[in-house]
Amino acid sequence: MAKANEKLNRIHIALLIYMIELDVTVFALPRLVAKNIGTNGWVGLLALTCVACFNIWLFQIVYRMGKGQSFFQIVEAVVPKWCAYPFYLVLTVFWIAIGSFIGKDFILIFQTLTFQSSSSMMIFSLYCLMVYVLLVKDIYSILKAVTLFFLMTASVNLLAPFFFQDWKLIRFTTSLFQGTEGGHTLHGWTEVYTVFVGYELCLFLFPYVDKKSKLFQGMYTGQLLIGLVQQLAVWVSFGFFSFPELKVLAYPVIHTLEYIEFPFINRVENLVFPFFLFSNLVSTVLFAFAGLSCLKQMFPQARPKLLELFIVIAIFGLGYIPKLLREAEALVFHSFFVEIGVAFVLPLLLMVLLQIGKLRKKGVKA
Amino acid sequence: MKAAACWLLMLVCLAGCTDQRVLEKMGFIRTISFDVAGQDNANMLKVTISIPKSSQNESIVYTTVAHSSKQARAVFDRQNDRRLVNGQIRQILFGEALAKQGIWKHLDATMRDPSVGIHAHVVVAEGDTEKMLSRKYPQGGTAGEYIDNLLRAESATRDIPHANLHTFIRDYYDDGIEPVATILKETPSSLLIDGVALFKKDKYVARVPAADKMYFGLLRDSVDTGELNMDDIRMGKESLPVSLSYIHSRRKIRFSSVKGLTAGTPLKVTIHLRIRGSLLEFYGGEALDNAANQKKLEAGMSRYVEEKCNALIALMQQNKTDSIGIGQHVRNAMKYASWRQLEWDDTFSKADITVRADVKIKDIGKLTRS
Repeated sequence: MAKANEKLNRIHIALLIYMIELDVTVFALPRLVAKNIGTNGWVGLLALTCVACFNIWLFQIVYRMGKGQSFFQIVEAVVPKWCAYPFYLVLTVFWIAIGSFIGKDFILIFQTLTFQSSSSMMIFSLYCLMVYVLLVKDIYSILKAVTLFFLMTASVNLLAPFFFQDWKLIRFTTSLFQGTEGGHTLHGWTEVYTVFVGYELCLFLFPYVDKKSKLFQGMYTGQLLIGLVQQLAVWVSFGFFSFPELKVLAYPVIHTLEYIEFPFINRVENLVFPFFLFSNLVSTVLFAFAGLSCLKQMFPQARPKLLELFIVIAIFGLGYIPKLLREAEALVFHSFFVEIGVAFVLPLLLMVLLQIGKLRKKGVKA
Repeated sequence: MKAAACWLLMLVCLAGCTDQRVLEKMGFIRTISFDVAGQDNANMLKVTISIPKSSQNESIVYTTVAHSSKQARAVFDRQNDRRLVNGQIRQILFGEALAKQGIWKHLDATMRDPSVGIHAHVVVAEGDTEKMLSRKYPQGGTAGEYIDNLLRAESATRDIPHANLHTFIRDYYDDGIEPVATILKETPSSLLIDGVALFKKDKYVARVPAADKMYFGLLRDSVDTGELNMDDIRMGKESLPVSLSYIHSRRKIRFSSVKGLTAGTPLKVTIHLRIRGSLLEFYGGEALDNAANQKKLEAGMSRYVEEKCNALIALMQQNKTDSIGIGQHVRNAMKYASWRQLEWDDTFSKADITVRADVKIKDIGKLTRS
């Protein structure tokens, strides 16, 4: 059990950010980079990492301006409850839906490799069961599980040297941002940016941190850590596959895993791939946690574990919407596009609310 | 509540038993071959699969004529008493005639299947593929296992370039290099690696004879180990066979300015090969503890390697197939738009390509003279 005065540690926060962002989008990342940014797209990805850090900085300003107030405290200090609650409800439904689509997309990708004949919803129900088991715990317990999951998932990165023999720098080409499909568009670059979705959930960690937690140090560290791993995935793929090939491979990261072979075992990807279950699970759980925080704010008297149960049932129910892989992918991308908007708009909105609150206080004093 | 949760968990877990894969009830396809079905069935495909029996010493071979590999698979499924799976495919053999027509649609279908591993060797078979897979070989095991071991042993020395599903498809898509595959031939007592098949996109256009495959290996990439057999080295007045073992080579490609290439200015390329190896076979009369003699021999070997490599380049140029990846280097020296504009196959075929070899003897073994 968590101690009453327990606060989050920056290392745990860094690992949490890493695990939230590591979701289904990473499997297709090298293709997304090749298709939308072009040759040597890793430079573009680096620039996008900086954009994500800028977004985190916006949240840092909110945290400083609000002096550590929670999202709900900031909103309800200015906006009346009857006006704020529908807003919470929309966010809740949206975040639950994202969590559900991530999970279902992962299951459908998983089924391309194994358990092809099983019902995807049956496997998804097991996934939802795991979400429930984590969600009923407090954030500290979730973070302890995240740390363990991180160790399992991060170990996959140790396989990178395996590709060295068939990796060639010449395949990177010397041109920069060339060979995209349909030129450089905001849509294309945003599609790549979807791999960063998730850090905005830090907003719901405000009540669980204090100055000692160094929340934002942890967030930047997590962002840099995941940025490094994403760069590794892109670097391995750009030197291992030819550039035009990258643009047609559905999931280059899974494809690279297929190449790993040991003298005593081959087709290692079937063993390694399930590790990604944990990172997707964390993403779903944290989106569900954000939704749960909103619901708890609206229904503070709700019976324990009832809201969690409701959320998991909703996640399962929403899982029925995407039945095909292409539908799941489209839903993930569309909802991630909206989430990127939410991630940028929310801190700006909160800054405005904080400013209004400040002005009101001054008005009262005057 | 806890009991209910346990029941629920048990029910959900038991539901997973619907998708069983019982090892003993599986038919693991080891080798699959595609060939033309003959003149009477011009648009048809002859597909053969080999499934090792559980003893691993024998295999079941099925052959059928169908429009596609999936249709053939449906026929095999009706014949075989075990469920056929692709997860252990180690070789994909293409008959010579089919390889000349183009193999992409068959590779595409194979690659699309996530259960097929990308390590599967891509092989061009000279001879009847069905017969090749049905025969028993004195090397033991099944034909599939024999081919797998044979190809792995050869490519481990980098004697032949890696030619598996991954490398073939990677180079098929790449615009600066063409894919290659291993050629396998049947002999009365065994199977034989009979050279390297050069492809232009997915069509087999030329072959590097087995005796020259090492020279091709030197041109295509750096070589870390292998054996270089030279049968006509000039050393003074003598002409003798020499073998270099444990060779280690590095390849460097230099070329003239790429400006004007799109306007038709010919390209001048020099390939520098730096080769080091142990001299373990030498029939000449001259003492090799003498540095001057070693240098004479090295000069002779360098000339020999240059001649062999130049002949291979002429073969590639004649067939307009850049199997050694000069295009990758030229592409990287050009602007992207200019490269896209360039007809690389034509430029390559007209390029003035010279090989400069620098062969050095690392050591001469235990004897100083024959």
